Amino acid sequence: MSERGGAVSRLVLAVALLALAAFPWAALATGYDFYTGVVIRVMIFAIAASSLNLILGFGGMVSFGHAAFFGLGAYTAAIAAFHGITNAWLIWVLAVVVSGLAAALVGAMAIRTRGVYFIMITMAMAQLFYYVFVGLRYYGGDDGLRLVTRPGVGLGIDLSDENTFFLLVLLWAVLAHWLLARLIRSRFGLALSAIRENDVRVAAVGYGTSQYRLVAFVIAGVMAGIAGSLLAMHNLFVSPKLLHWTQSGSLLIMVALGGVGYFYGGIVGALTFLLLEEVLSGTFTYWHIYVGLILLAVVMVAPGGLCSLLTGRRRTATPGGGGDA
Amino acid sequence: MSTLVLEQSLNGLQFSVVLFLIASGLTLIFGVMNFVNLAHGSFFMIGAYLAAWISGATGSFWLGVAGALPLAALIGVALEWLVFRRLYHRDHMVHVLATFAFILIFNDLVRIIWGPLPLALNAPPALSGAVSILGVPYSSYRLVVMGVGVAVGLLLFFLVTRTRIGMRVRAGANNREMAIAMGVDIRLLFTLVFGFGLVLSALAGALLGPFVAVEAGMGDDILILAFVVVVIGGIGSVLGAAAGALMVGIVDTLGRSVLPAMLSSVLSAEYASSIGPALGSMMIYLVMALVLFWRPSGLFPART
Amino acid sequence: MPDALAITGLSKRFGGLQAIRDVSMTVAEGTVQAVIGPNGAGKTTLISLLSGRLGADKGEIRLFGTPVHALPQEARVRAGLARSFQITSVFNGMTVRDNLLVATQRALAPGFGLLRDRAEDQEFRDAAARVAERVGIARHLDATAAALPHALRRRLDVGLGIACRPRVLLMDEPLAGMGHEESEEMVELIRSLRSDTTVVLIEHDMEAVFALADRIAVLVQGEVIAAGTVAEIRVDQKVKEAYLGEEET
Repeated sequence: MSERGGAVSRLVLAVALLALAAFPWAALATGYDFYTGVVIRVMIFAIAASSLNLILGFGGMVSFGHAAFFGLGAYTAAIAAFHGITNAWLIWVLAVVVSGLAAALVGAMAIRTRGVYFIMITMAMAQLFYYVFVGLRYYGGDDGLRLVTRPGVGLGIDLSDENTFFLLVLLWAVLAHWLLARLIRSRFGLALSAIRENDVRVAAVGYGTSQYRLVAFVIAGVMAGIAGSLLAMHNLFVSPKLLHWTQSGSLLIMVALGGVGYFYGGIVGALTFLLLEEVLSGTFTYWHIYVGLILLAVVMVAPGGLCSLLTGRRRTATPGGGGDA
Repeated sequence: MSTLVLEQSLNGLQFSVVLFLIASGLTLIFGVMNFVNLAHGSFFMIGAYLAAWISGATGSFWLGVAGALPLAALIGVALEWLVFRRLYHRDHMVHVLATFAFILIFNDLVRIIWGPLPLALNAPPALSGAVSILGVPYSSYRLVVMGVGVAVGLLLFFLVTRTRIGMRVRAGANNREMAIAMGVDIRLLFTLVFGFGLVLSALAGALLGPFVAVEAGMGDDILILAFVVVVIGGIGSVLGAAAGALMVGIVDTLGRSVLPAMLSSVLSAEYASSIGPALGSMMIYLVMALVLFWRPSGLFPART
Repeated sequence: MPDALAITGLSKRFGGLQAIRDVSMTVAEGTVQAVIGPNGAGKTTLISLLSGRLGADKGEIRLFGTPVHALPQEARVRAGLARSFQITSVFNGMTVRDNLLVATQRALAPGFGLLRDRAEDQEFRDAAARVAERVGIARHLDATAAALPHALRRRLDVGLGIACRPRVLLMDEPLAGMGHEESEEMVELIRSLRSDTTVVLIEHDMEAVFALADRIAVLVQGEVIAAGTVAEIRVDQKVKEAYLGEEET
C-alpha cells in the first residue's frame, strides 16, 4: 500500500468515524432516533464478531462456543449490578477477568486437540456455561436477570442518555478494532496466520503453536466479554440464551457473511446480519429459513463473504505488515 | 429411592440407545468423510415429524416409523448429492456453516409445513403396558426401543466388522488415500455412509417421538449430546459411539433425575429443583472434560 | 570439542513394528552426514525423532553436548536443530518474503511480539532477504509460495530450515522430485551450507550422496548396518546385499 494510498484510507476512516459519532443527533433531528439503538447493537456485535474473526479468520480455529464468553461478560455486568455495583469501570475489569479466565480454561482444553474435536469441545464447553446460568435460579435462571440502572462511568457523564451511551460504545468499538489491527500487523499476527496456513511447519520453525493459539483465544474471549458487558448495559437485561450454542452460530454467521479473515469482516457481518434480521423478521413469520439460505449461498458461491465481493480481491494470507512493497 | 434409581437407570439405558443411534452415524460421517455434520440433529427432528405425520394419517405407529425411514433416506441422499459432496474437500469451517444453515432451514421448514405447534406421536397401544423388572414396573415400549437400538447396534457392528462394505468403511475412516488407492468407490461409499447415518438419526427421532415434544428445534440439544458421545468415544469408531453413548446416556439421565432428589435432602426443594437438572446437564460436560484430559482422542478412536 | 550431533541407542516402536532399533551415530561439526537406505528403512522416522516431532522410546540425542531428547520440537529448534521436509511444507498463501520472515522473526526475537508493528522490524526482513539470496530465490520474494514451481518451493523449504539459524540442519530428501539440472543446483547449495552449519542428509539420489557426504550411515529396517566414508560404503558387502536384495523383489 503506497504512502499516499495509506493517507487516503486513513482520511476516509476518520471521516466515517466522525459521521458515525454524529449519527445519534442526526437521527434525532430527522425523527429516526429508533435506529440509534439498532446501531448500538451493531457496534456491540461488531466487537464480538471481530473477536471471533481473530481466532477464526486469522488463527484458523473454528470455535463454536464463542457466545459463552460474550454471555459471561453480559452476566458479569448483570450480576455485579444486582449486587449494587454501578461503577462501569469496575464492571469492565470484572468482565475482562471473568471472560479471560473462562477463555483460558476452555482454551487450555480445546487447544490440545485438532480439527473436529476442537469444534465440538468449544461447543460443549459453551453449553456447560449455558447450563450454569440456567441453573442459577438466584440470578434469574431461565427467565434472565434485569439490571436496575445502567452503570455509570462517573466524570459527570450521564450514560442513561442514549446518545451518550452510543458514543461510549463507539469508543469501545474503535478501541477494540484498533487493538485488532495492531495484533494483525504484529509478529504475533504473522505467526498466527502461519499457524493457520501450516501448523506443522510453523512448529518445525520453532514456535510453540499451542501457546500462540491460546493467547489468541484468550484475547478473543476477553474482547467478546467486553462486548457482552456492553450489551447488558444497553438492554438492561441478560438471559442464558446469550450463551446458547445457537448464539455462537449467529456469531459465526456474522463473520461468514462479512468475510472470514478480512479486517472489516466482523463489522460488515454484524451490520448485515442485524439488518437482515430487522428486515426479514418484519416481513416474514418464518424468517430463519432465509438466513439459512443466504448463509448457504455465501458458503457455496461467495466464501469470502461480502468483503470479498466489495473489494473484489482475495483475502491476503497476511494482511497488514510492512513487508509488502 | 432405589426404585427411582432403578427406573432412571433403565431410562438412562434407553436414552443411551437412542444416543447411540444418532452418534454412530455422526461418528462414521466424521471418520470416513472428515465432514462435520451439524444437520444430523435436524434429521432426528425430521424422523420424528415424518413418523408423527404418517402415523397420524394411518393410525399405526409402526407404519409411521417404517414410512419415515425411506423418506428420510431420500432427503438425506438428495442433500448429500446436491450440496454436501461439493464441500468434502473444503475445511471444517465451511462444513459447520453449511450444515448450520440447514439447521435454520429445517427448523423453519417443519413449522411452515406442519405449523408451530408440536405434533403428537403416540406409542403403539399394544405396548402401552408395563413389564416388571426386578419388581419395578417398566414401560414395555421403552423396552422395545432399547431392543430395537441394541439390534441396530449389533447389525451395525456386524456390518462394519464382518462385511466387505464395512471393511471399506473402516478403511475409509482409517486412511482415505489408501482406500482410494485400493479401488474403493469413494463417492458411492460416502453417499451410503451419509445416507445410512442420517437414517439412523431419523429412526432415533421416530422412536423417541412419544416421549418428547415433536417440534422445531428438538434436534438442537440432542445434537450436542451426540457430539459429546462422539468426542468421548473417539471419532470414526462405532464401538466408541456405543461406549460414549452408554456413559452419556446414564450420566445425563441420572444426573437430571436422581441428583435433584439427592440434593433436595440437603438443600431446599426450590433450589434443588432448579440447580439439580442444570447440574445434571453439566455433569456430562465435566465427564467429557475428564475423559479428554486423560485421552485427548477419545476412548476408542479409529485413527490415533 | 563435542560432536555436533551425538545419537546413542535411539529406538522407536509403533504398535507391532520396531521402526528404529538401537541407532547410534556421531556427526562432526561442519560435515555432511548422509543417511541412506532402501524404502521403508525408517529414514523419515529418524528425522522426526531427531527434530522432536516424535518422541523416542529409548536413547539419547545430544546437540553439541547438550541433551535435547527430552525437549519439545520448538525448544530443539531454538537450541539450533532445524529441518527441511521431504514433501514440501511451506506457507502456501504467503509471499516468499513472509514465509522466511516467519522463521527469522522467531529466530531473532523472543516473546510474542503482540503489539509492535512488523513494519518496524527491518532487521528480521533483512535476514529473510539474505536467506532468500542464499537459496537463490531472492528474485521471487514477493511471489506467493503456492505460485512457485516445484524446484523453487523445495528451495524455499530448505530456506525455512536455514532461516532458523541452525547449528545442525536435518535435510529430508531435498532433491525429491527434481530434474537433473535442478538437482545439481541443489547439491551446490547443500555443499555451500557446510560453512554455516552441520548437515544430516537423507537422500535417495546416490550421485548426490557420493558427491556431498563426508560420512554415510546405511539404515535398513530401522538399524544401522554400516557406517563409514564414501569409499568404505561403496565397497561394503552388507550394503550391496541390502540394495541388491531390494532390486530383486
